Amino acid sequence: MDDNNVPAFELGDVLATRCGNTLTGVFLPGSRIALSAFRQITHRSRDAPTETAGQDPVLIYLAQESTLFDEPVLRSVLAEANATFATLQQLGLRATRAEYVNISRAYRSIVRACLEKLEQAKKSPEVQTDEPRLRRFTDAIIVFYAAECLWHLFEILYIQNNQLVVPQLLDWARFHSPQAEDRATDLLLMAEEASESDDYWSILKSLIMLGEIDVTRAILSQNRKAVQPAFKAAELILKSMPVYQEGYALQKFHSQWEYWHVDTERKIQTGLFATEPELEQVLRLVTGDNVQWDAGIKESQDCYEYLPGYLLFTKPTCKPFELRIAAANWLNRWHLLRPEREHSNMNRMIMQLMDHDIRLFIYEAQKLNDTHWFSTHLIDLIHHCGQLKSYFDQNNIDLPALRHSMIYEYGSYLMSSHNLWQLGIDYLDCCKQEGQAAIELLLPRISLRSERQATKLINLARQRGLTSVEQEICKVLSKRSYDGERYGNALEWAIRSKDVLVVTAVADFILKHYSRTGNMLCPDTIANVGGRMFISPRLVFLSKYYEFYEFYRTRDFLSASELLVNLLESRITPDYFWPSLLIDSMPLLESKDPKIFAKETVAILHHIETELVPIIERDVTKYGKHHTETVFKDYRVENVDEILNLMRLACARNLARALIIENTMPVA
Amino acid sequence: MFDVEPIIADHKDVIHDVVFDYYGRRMATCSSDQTVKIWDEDGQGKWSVTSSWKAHSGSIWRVSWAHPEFGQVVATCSFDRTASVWEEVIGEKVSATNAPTRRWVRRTTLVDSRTSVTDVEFAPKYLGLLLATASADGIIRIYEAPDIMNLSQWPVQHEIANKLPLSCLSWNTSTYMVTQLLAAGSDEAATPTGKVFLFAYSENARKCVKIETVNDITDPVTDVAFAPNAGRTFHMLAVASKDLYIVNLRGVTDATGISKLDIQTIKFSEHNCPVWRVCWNMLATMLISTGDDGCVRLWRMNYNRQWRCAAVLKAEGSGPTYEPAPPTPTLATTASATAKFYKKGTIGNQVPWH
Repeated sequence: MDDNNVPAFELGDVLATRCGNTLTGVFLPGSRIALSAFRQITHRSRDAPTETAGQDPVLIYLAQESTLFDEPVLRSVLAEANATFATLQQLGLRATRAEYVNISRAYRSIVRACLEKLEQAKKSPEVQTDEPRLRRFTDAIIVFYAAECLWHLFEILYIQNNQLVVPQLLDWARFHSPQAEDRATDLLLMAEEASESDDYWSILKSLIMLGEIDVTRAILSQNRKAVQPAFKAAELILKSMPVYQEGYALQKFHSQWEYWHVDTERKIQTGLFATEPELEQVLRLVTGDNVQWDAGIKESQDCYEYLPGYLLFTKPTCKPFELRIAAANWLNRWHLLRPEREHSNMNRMIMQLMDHDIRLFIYEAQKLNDTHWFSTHLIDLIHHCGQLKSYFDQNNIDLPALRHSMIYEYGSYLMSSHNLWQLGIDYLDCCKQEGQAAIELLLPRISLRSERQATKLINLARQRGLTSVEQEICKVLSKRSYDGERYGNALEWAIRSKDVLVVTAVADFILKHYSRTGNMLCPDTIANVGGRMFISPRLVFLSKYYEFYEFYRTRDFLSASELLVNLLESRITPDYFWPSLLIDSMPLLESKDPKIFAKETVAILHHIETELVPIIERDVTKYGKHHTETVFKDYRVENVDEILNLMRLACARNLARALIIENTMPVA
Repeated sequence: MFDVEPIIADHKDVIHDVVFDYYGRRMATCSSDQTVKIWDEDGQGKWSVTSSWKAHSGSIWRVSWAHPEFGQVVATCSFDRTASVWEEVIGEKVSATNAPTRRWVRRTTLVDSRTSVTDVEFAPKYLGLLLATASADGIIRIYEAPDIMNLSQWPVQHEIANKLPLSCLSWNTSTYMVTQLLAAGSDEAATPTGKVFLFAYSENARKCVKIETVNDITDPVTDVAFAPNAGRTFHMLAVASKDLYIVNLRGVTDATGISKLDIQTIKFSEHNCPVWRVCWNMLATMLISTGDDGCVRLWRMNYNRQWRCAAVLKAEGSGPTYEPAPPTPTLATTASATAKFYKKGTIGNQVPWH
């Protein structure tokens, strides 16, 4: 499937076509490319404005592969097909043929339903007045009509795989040439009057050529001359035409059919219908008369329209493998008679199917402007039902690899487009490790527009065990909340990310903010941290300190004291928080009835001397004595030395009180 | 078939780099006019400039976005021998009803280079907030922000000197086999030696060292790009040189237990002229190459993993003027020779390109 004929597009950018300039491009998510004029300069060239700077507009072109699926109506096709696709994956490779036919029909009914909706929507005034939208609808109808038509034929020939194909082919042709049937209904409604209708006979002929024998008979029986012998004889011929039924002995049918055929030809030759030339022409069509059929071909819309009918009257027991020759002959004939008509792609693809050239068919199917909806789902179905396995083997096509790559491409296309990612993920789930890896790359790149969407993404990641994706999303949200000054959210998402660095950073920020201003940010979030605090020692400290802060606020000084002493002992206090913590202890130390025991008071004093004093000294040597950039940024502290002395004093006083009480307590 | 939407960039001179953020919703552009512009896409897909500032006193070569978990951060590098890190911050609230204004603040200027800084790129996020620069005097510097909440500190972590001037660099985002893998290219034309170098962190030396030179590519190299890795067991590096190259790197362990990289170079000569830039799509199923022939080529990997040119986008043409759409074909018309870009939405030819 080499295609040396690489399609080319012209952009026509003035700046880019200037001497020495060229075009450059980068990819964006969602099959988009940004193009801009480019000029290669190196570090050796002089850095000066380009000679032509300012003369041409500098443009960036955002090129997007055109897609039909921007319309909500069409998006439902994707969603429904996604469900059918999932059903097929569950069926697996060993289901019965009938089940695969059902799947195939399900896909087709999705397309048919969509076509109906499209036709309706197209007629609505808002679409009619919106030129580009109208064109989109028209395009979509063309594409999906083609998809349905081809799929239907494919289903008949390669999925149902019946021994005889003519009856199904007739259904197929009738469905896709509905005009004749519409007009036949009109004639039936007109009853007798119909006989005078101008196109009476031409309609009857096209009905015959579509194999609609019963309808033709019904119309003929309403003719004013229906009682005349010619009409009666015609009715008899049509009525007695043998129709092959499943289970009938082929040989017997053949002889019956031959007899009927010869008999009819004989009747025509005897001039039984000479009085009714038009009726005779109809009957000549029934006998497969070349002159009449040639005339019919000249009237036909599409080359495949009357092929099934022709087969019905000339080769009613045509088998799939015989169809190839019959179709090729028919095509040549059609071409000879209609040399002016060029073959449309769809006709070519229909012939490829009849000609058993699946390889070319698939290649052409990929060119359908449906972002590979048709080819992907069809190939997946081919792979599952296994009918064509030997064909692909003989043609050296690795069907599983082809299917895999199609599904992978289709899935990643959906997943990287903005509104469709939820559908894409199911396709990528079928692509083994490669699909998993693609999900891992694409999932975190879906822009997080709301927390609800983020939660959805996180759940999808969690179902697939993609912890790194989950973490990444949480971290992004944490940072985003932090930048937006929503610190409670920032802490919450940081905790959910379970990333020590991020959690520590946010907790640090909250603690520093507290020691600087005395305001505790996001108390609700901190109160709810609970058991999750053990992610980071800093978070443990924050939670515990908050607990202390709450005790203190609710005047539960005994519990507060106990917790404070624990915190001082815990060795998780960050350097910058020592001043805050020790200052917090002062009111408790100065309390009239001692809250802190002698032993603990000694410990506090110890901390003042071993933790706080060295920090102060370090800062003094680093920044000078009266610099504000010290760890002493606590809002309550201005004079460092004074506060240090006050602390020592408070300790001494509390120690004295505590010692007296502890040592004079009556022995219990 | 493409729908094309032109955006007036409003730069006074040629744009050197167009880079999209992680989600593809923001765009940074830099130009010879010494300014950087940040663009945002609104809900309707329209792009508009939200910030624009003079960032350097020389042409700005490249711009790079940091991962969003580090905030809204870009780095730029310039002919003026510096690289800078910029962060978007929320400004003062003007009124209660309006959204707070956002502006970009320079967090640091990295002045270590004595020559033009030719490329700058943030490292993959698993390494933390790291930034690599390449300069014309052949030195790669790797900076690290130790405190992710305070981006004013960027101490140099590694400095690797090379004999040849460097024009470009690229981080490998995958950790498969080798960690902290970095490629750099040189546009030196005088010597017939390999022009693409690979660097990685060496446990023994405890620093970043050069581990390989791609000897197959001896022509000047103007761009290198590691492909994103979606489950591959090897690394792909696209190289823009006299031709387009795709270099496959496989980690192999020899009999003595020493693991090294096996390098396989594939050349694509379709441009028939020097290639300036290369860019991968998100899953590395497609590649864009910019040639001196005024064309952008789109390459895609087919189902048996061969790279094929899928489409050519030409700079020339009659201009993006609106022309009425030709009558709708019954089906996709096959790839006829040339179709034009129209301003918005036209039936052209179908490219099986995604």
